[in-house]
Amino acid sequence: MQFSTVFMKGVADIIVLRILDKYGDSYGYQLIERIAAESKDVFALQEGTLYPLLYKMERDGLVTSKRKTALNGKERRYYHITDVGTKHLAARGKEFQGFVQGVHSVFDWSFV
Amino acid sequence: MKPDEYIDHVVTEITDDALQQRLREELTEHWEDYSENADMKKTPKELFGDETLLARQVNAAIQPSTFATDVALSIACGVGTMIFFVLLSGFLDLDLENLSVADRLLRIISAGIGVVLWCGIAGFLSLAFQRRMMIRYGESKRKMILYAIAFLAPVLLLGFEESLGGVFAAMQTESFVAAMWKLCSLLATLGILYGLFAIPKRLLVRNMTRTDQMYVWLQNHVPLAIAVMVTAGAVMLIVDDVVTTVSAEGFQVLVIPFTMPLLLLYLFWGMVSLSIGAVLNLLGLSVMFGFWASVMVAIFIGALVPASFLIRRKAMPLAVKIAASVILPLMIIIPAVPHDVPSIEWRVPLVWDWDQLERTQLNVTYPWAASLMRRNDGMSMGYAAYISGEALIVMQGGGASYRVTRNGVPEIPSPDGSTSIFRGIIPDAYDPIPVGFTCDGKPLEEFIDTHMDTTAPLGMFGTGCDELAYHGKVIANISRNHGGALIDLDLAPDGLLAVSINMGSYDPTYVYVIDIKDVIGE
Repeated sequence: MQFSTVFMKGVADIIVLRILDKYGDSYGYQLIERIAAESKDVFALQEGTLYPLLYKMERDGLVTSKRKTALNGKERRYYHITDVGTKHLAARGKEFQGFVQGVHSVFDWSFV
Repeated sequence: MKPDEYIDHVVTEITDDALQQRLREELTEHWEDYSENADMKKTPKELFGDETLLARQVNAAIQPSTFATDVALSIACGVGTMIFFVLLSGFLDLDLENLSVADRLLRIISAGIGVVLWCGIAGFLSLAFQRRMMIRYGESKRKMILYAIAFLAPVLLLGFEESLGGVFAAMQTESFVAAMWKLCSLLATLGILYGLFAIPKRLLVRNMTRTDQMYVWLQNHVPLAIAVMVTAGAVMLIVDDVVTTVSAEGFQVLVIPFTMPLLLLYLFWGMVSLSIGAVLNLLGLSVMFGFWASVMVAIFIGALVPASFLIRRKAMPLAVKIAASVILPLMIIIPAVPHDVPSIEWRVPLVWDWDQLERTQLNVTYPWAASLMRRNDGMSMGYAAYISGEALIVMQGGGASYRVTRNGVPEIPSPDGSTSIFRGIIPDAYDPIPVGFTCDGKPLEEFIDTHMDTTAPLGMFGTGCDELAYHGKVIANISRNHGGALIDLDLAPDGLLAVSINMGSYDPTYVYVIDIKDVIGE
């Protein structure tokens, strides 16, 4: 599903952080694939959105990056969630959870 | 577009050198992984998005937030839009009474073109502003900046007294209705500005992807649009200059909207070049130094910088593209600009003329644009001349005076230093007219300021004189096709006569030195 940029802007960082937290260090292509798989293709994060986002998160100290050899033997740049990133994820995740619960209560969706 | 070409395009627009290499690496590797694994095959543009947009997002992501710069840029956007609007509304004449149907139509078409142009420019500026705000700031900060612009633009443009101060003053001195009217006008201005910036925001929020694509397309074509506009405006000004007759009034009406952007650029450049000129004056550098320095700066910014980007095969930043799109057409067109030089048939020997220095003067103060706009430039370039001992002294209105030796070499600056003169503004700046001169058979006793005389050519300043004579002996026949009126005469005891001829109140003045000792002797 394609969400508007404004909508995605609010949650894209915590989605990336969550994937890094769950799967450990990942590179760009893996992140896109894992986000799509984890969200059952609901969040199709665009490649053009991912890299600027990763650079901003690195600038803000939420992630670090390092070149490492991947399982297929190729060199890739892996992103790693920092302590600051973990705290940010916890705080924003909780905030977002409250938001989703609120929306759930209002709409009374049975499938959530 | 091939993947390598796409990645090259994106990377060359990245401002940070270290990040250029890193982004190239990551995009190449991502494309490699995608090509090997994905079932659906997209083009690089489909996968990563528009290359310019991606580069801008990366640039925006790594740059620290510069709130003050953004506010300044936003105010500049608002003020620029307002100035353009004020200029346009001031020049366009929609008084349609007592006009033929054709003339009415022409004025309406001209106004229509002007409004469309203004909407285009204002729309792009506000879209650019909103997009920048959305990338960088949250809703509250965006609103704050928006209010700041709406509030500050009229104050900056009209001045405090004409905007907010005017309302307060009207409340104290005028009637309640008048004060309310002023308040409503100001609120309407604020409302228009707010609407101008709020509408693109709605568009952006509702359809981010499309407006992004539209913005990128516009941005990619802005330099071309500016180049076309500057060229069209410049060419129309030249044509207008050549065909200045009453019958060409319709054409002049059509020229107005096309020359507005040029006028806006010109005002900006006028401010910059006047500041540079002031510094050069303080440093005691020669006029020619200023002229050549300005020429070199224009060539550097307009041609050499863009050429270096082309040679290095790097994408030009937008500012460089815009600078080139303004300067390059002007550099090509200016040599073709006809100059209004008085057409005079001298019946006595011409010793020296001011023509060459006059041109240099204009170019120093308003480089490049001056040649195009010179018909509107003479106000600060009036000269009065008198002969003193071994030299001709030429005083320049609003500037330094010059001592010119009799072999025609100017010495700058003169011992007189800076002398501000302007006929009509400073009384008694000119010596009395020497006795014995006649203009078309009538004694020349004073020079006429026909500026406000509707029967004279527009803005004519000085006494029109087809035939100038001294004690019945014809000295010169002066053509008045494009101006050409006497504003000053000074006769030296040895028979040298300095004649100042003005091409119109907004046009340059030319000074000639002629030898009439044979006429005096007869």
